[in-house]
Amino acid sequence: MRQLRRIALLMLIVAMPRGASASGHGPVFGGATPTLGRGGWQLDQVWMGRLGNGSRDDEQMLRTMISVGLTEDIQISGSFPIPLQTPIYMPRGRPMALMSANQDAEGILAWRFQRRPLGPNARLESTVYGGMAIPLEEFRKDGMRATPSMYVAAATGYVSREHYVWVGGGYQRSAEMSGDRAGATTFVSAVYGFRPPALRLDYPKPDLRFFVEAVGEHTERGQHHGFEMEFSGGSAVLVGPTALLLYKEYGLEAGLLFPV
Amino acid sequence: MHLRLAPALLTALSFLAPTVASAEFRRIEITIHGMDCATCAHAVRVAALKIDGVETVTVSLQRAVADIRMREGNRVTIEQIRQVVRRSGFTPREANVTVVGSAIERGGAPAIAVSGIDEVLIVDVQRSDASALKTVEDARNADPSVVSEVTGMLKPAAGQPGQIAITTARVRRTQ
Repeated sequence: MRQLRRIALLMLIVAMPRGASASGHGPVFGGATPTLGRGGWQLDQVWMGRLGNGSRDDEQMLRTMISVGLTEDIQISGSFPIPLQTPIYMPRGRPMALMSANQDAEGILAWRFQRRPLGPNARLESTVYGGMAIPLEEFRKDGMRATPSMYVAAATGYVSREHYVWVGGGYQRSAEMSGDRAGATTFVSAVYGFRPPALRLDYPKPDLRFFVEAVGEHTERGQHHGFEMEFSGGSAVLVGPTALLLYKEYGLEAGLLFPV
Repeated sequence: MHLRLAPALLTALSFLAPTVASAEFRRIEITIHGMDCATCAHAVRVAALKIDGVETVTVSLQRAVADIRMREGNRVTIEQIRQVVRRSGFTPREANVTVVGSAIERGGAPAIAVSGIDEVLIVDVQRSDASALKTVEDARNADPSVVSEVTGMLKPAAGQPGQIAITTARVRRTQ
């Protein structure tokens, strides 16, 4: 079973007017409750790197995601990969709740079905996600046929000027074609965010906050020509810090996860 | 001290602002709940600025309010402002408002009509009748064309969408 050493991620957020109401407060990796305002849209550009036990396990990817707020509680997102370095046997998993780690184009519909204000600067909210990924390659690097997959997830959280807490979980399962199927991935995540008193600046000053994120994921063994692949699948629990800086409609987010 | 306006004050007010057919909001300082970050505030500001008639918008995360100033002659309604807040994903609450226009009588009580919504009712006045009447008299004597300005706390009236009560209102002359 392959071991993941760490995941690094750098995200550039460009949210356009009428947008970025809630996506702008989210963590990097874990499940959260992002929802744009009605008619708002957001462009996220991500660099993601994963380090394994050797260069053949390393992965680098650029991923671009465009999100549109259909209503204040329904958001649709589409993301597209630009692979830079693809691992052969590393379990693909799902290190980011909102983006696939595969060479897939992915569409996700998010519905914030519960939202309750808890005062001037705080609220509780919960979101469910449903999505589908279409592979942009015929075969994966390990020789398996790339097949479409579906994704479901849910997250609930508390948001305020001082603290952020989210817990979430999700499941991604691939279709089987010609006896090939990637292993299904299950993940859970927990995120705590904190904005120190000195950084609780009023708009339009920059807005900086810090998160500690924990992601646990398990990927089942893949199937090739109807047989389980021995060097596929795996489990990992990763924990690490991330930070988010916002200024008006722009944001910069970066984080690093380590296996524990 | 909260005192209900006397009918005499209503009569006096009705002499003011003969050139203003109906009143308009000049300032709405609306409280917003659930807003936590800079991009939240930015989204509200940008959306509010798109409303025709809105001149400036200042959003404060610390105070959880959006302070919206309107141009003269605007037809901005409080519901438009509340909708902007809702569509940005937050919850609009009470608002401090400044309304400029002519006073009218409604069911024996003083009221002020605002374009776009039926009426805004003046429920309580934070000054004595005598003081208010003196202000009105002074204003009328000085210039018959001055308009009345009413400020107060605005809350949705129960069961009456589009009709909003102003509590803790005060009346003062303005040019």
